[in-house]
Amino acid sequence: MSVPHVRARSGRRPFTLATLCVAGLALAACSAPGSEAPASSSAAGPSATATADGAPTCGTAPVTMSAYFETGFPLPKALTDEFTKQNPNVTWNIREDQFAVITQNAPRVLADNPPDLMRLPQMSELAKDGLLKNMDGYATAFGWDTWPSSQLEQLRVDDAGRRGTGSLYGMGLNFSLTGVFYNKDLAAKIGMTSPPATLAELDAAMEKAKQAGITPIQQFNGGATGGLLFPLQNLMAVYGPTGPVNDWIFNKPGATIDTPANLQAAQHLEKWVKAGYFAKDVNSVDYATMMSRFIGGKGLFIFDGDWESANLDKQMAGKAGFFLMPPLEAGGKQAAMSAPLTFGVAEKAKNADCAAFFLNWVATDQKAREIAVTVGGSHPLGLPDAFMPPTTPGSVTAATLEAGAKVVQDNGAMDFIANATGAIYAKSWTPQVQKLAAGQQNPEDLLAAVQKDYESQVGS
Amino acid sequence: MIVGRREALVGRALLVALMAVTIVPFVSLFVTALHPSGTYPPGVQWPADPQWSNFGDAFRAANMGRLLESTGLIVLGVVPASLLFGTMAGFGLGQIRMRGSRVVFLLFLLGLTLPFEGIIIPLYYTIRDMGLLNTRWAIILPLIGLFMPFSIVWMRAHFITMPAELTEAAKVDGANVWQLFWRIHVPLAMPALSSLAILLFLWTWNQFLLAIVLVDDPLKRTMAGALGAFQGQWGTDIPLLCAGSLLILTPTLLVFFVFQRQFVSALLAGAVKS
Repeated sequence: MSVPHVRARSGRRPFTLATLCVAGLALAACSAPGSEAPASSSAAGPSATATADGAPTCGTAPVTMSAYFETGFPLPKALTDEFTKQNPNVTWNIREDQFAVITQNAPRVLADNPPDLMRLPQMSELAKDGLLKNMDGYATAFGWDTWPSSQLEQLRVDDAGRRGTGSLYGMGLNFSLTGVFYNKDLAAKIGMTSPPATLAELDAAMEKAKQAGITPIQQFNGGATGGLLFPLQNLMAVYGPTGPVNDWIFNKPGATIDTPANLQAAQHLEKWVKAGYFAKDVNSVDYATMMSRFIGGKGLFIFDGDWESANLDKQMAGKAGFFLMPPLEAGGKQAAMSAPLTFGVAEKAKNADCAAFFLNWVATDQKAREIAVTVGGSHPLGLPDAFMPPTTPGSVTAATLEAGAKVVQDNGAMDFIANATGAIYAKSWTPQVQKLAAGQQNPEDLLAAVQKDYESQVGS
Repeated sequence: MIVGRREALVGRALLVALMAVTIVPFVSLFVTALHPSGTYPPGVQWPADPQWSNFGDAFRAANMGRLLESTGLIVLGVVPASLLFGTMAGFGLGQIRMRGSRVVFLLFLLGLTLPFEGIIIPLYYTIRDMGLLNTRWAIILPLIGLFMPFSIVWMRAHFITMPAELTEAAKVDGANVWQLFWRIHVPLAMPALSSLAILLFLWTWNQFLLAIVLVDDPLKRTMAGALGAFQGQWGTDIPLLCAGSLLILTPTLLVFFVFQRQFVSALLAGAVKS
């Protein structure tokens, strides 16, 4: 899931409009000459460097892989370093850009300067325009098709450019997920000794915190960010199945967000707002402020993702915990917003086989899986019974990994509702949940308004 | 001019207040830069253990040495050429005023209203067809062109205020147009020229959009892109980002301090001229 709103900076605002415009137009322009429709683009064919069982490898001749990664995130580099250690004939030519720059540049880089391996933003348009390698052949050759289906669902794109079904156009290095972090010291003060097992217990913990003068939830929701979507979508998965939510995000025909279950979720969120569980200034709290307050012990819960687990283990060692959003009834199925850290191969990449071999290695090699956890902080992809590196008991990382396994087991991965269309987050969700937090919007109208915007955007 | 005590006091108070408003963000930037890397510092608060090494870390993490070199090359490619062309055109439009100069001037004014963002796509395709993508020329050439309208309008504004008697006197002494330009008017235009140089330097230094669209290799871009090194999709290393910002703006501050006398005199030149 791309979570664009957690970027603390907004100083480059003049560029964002141009950025969108460039991305949009370049896409339209690039798709015209010489690009194939996804259906006709070749899947991994027989390869000169295939092993006996048909799966491609990097061969033994020297290869230089061109790669395009994001800044501020050391995992890909750590993996490529280890890969070269194990396969000395493969070297990497890596360039790094901010994720926002990658988002903007993706179409033209894939068309004019195709990398072998690239960090991908939302990929449906890229796949539709034939800029990404169809990975179905690799999936069969390496057995990725035997993994739990929810892991790779978000990376599938059909002929109409809808995600969720169709051919595989990307692969994850690991998958992140969101849930609830809590401050163990504050929890002990209100007598919460273990994570709540039901939603009612969570409500009770919030009420106790409120009465003890502790802010129950610190959540970012200020500026151009709609952080209340985190609890909202978690509540949606508590009150209803994840299927319809994913259908809506993947733009399936007839999908709606305005369902009875989602209304209950929105009403529950409104209940939290009215009960004063959020900080009073929630609409002016940005992501960094939320983190700073939570780490500083000024809130019991935050709704956030496991990308912070390594950070919290360092800055609140032993004092922070994590749990998935609890179900209505104890022992029920649990779900989370969860997304693979998406990488893809350019349709015109020179070393696609080697890139696919690398992606498979990331999910299957013991050392690589260890790096995915210790450096990346998130759960590696692959079969549920694959090797897991040991973690410190009681640490946040251990808790998030366990949660990841539970989500895989319950097949409960959802993409983020902010990713349904290009504009839905900034134009609809963010203002709507900010109004909800300010008491100026009710749950019924909120969902109806978002659905109306969605239909006008998907229909066009 | 006689200034009353009250007036002087109010004036000082206003200046101090304005200065405080200007300086507070920098103080905040500086203090935040000293917190341990990767933390989320709460507001302006002196850290218990100031991390002076953040500046060195930021310099290394963002590869600033290479970027400094790259930006230097781009500035050298853009600023002298823009100054030369801008001065010559400004002189033509402001002093020689040949036939049609008004139309030409209006055309350049039109160029002044054109936002960079509006032409970035045609520019991309042009540069690609010229085979210059991913070279520093892809930043230098468009920037020279894009700075032209402003440089010309700026220099024309200067030349048009120069008394015609100067030109006549030089002509009487037998100067041709080139000598008139080079010997008489360029030396007199120094304040305007140097302030234009500072502005062009700053704009090139801070150029971000052209760099990210036209050049794929981050090390061939401008300094402004260096801050990206501290930003991931999910979070920002705020202390290092602040340290990086301070490092990036240091050279521009140095340039300003070195040239500030010219800059101020250029600003005043227009203000006190009778």
